[in-house]
Amino acid sequence: MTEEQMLAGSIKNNAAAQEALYNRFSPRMLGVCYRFAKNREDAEDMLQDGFIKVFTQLHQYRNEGALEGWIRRIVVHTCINILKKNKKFADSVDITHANSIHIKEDMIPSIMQAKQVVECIRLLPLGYRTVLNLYAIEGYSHKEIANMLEIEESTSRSQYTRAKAMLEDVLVKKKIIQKPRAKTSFGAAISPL
Amino acid sequence: MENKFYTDDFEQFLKETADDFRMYPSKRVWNSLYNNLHPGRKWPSLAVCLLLVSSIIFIGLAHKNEITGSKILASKDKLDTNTLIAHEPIIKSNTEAMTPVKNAATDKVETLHDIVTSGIRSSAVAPPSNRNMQVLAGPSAELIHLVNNDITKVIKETDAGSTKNRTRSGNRQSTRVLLRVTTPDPANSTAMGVNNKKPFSENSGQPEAFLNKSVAVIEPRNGIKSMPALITPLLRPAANIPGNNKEKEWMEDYAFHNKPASSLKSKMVYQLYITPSAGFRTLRKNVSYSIPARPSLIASSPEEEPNVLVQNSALNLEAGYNFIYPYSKSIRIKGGLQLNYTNYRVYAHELGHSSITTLLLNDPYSGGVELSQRSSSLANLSIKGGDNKLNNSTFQVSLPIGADLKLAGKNKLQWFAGATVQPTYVLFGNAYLVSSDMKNYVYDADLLRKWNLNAAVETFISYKTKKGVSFSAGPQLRYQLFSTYSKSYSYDEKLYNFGIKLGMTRNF
Repeated sequence: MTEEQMLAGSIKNNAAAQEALYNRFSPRMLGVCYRFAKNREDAEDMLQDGFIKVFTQLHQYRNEGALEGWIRRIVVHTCINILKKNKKFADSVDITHANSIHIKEDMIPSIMQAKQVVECIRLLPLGYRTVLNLYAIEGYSHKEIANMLEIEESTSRSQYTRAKAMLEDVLVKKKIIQKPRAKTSFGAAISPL
Repeated sequence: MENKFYTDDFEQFLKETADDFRMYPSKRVWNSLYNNLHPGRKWPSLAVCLLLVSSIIFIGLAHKNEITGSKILASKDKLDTNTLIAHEPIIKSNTEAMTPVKNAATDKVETLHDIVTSGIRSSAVAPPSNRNMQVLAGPSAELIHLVNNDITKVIKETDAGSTKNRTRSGNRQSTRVLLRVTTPDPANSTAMGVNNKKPFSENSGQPEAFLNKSVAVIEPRNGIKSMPALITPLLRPAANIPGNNKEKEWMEDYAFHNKPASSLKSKMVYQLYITPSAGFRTLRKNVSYSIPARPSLIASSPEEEPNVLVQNSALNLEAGYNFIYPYSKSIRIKGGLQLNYTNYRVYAHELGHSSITTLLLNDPYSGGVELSQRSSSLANLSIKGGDNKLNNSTFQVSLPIGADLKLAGKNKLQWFAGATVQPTYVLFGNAYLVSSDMKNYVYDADLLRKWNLNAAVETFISYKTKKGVSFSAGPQLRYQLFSTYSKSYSYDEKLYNFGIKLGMTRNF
């Protein structure tokens, strides 16, 4: 079934077309959700909510840009909305005491590289990883992130800088990347092993 | 992924790596999604639940109108069971042979026997020599009543144009005979008894004085249905006429071999029960789903250090009802609905601050181990007497289905052993989970498994009072067959509880 057929069938509420569309995009979208969620079950809940919105709003898709990008934006916004409903999220996203957070090396899983990187991202505090996901991976600007998360743009920038430093350090320790030439000041946030 | 990576391209590296990452969702996601998109189509789980509940209700209500099912429309007042036999196979009649229309049209009084024997060629019910019944026939709705007893009147309904109908249709006519079985006033009611030796009085000619008890319909097209039910009471008094012993023997023999079957409803009983109990748990490492983690990830397992987790039993409660059907003299089948509150306590120390800890979770899809970072302010003391007792509790609704086996006893006092399986749905609950290093407790009710299966065994003594109500009491063990938590949690917890089940059973 081609993408056009899936699209047309899904708009007509055809179950087979909807399932084909879901099967094509759900693995990648679950990977997106997993980076935002605290566990797999939450990620699946996010995915489900996201795809409900996708199917109910599919008639609004105007073939401008790739369908995957359109679906991805809906899924990311769904993830953010779900996270914002969590009371702890508001505290996490404004977190400023990065120095008190320590990631021990034995917390870092050593499974496979793609998953390892994602798991390392998920080790970051909720606010850090949300900003990092949105800026570095999803490509949103700090201004857009500030609007989405209802925070100051400067907060978004600082969150990202701290998150990046923390993640770099973890990845260096796991020898996934080489040590940067000039270590940022936030590298000290990661406890020595 | 290149190991020699330059961090200036950090964002690019992250994006490429993260974009490559895919996970395959479980079937549950699509099922839920499908249900949302197509709400009209129900999934099997819902259908099975509905089926279970509806079948239990059906069992309770089935056969309610068993008598009317055999074309006898019984009134609310019960007939003497000896006078109404509803389970005789239908006797087919020949429509052509049943031709009392002529008689009806001419208002000629005719015996019921004539109608029956002429309408049913193979009349095995009415003795040929019986002349105790007479028919009063009329053109439209004619009253037929018996000459020799005052307990029965038979109304014969004939379509107004029956003669025409017969003429037109030739072989077929639409005569309908309505038999109304009545009982006399209380003074004469003893005449209904099978063993009544009192001779029947002659026709009083006042059938209207009697109370209507039951109506049966004879339809020529379909034959006379349940004629024994009618003929038996009609003919029984005739047995008392001297010199008619042969008929009396025949009727007694017929009555003996055609005892009315008791209905399902009259056999079924319902039980209300409550079971206070003490709840416990077993906790084991879930080895079937987790990849062996590095030793440093897990401080210890409960099997290695059984005292590392300290918990206490707490009060559990179960309440519900059962419908019980006696399958045989010693076996009863039962099914119903029950609510359970399960509970046990773990000891923890409330810290003044939150600390970061991790939960070790399985990822059955990728086969990996997931360390989920959490914050916790509850420390595991590993000793009893912590300042904070955490209640791990669930509220469940179950559909117990099982059987009881009578071990001993007769009428009043009986001893049973029983067992049930209980498909269970967890409505809500508390879940304090031990962290991967077993030093903290983390609250996460999302990891509770929604569907579970329990089994219970019990033994109890039942005492039946004079009013027909039975009271029962006995010990019960209930065991949870699947873990309290979903597969993703790396520990299996099985709940079990011992309690005393107290029940009250009575008929509908």
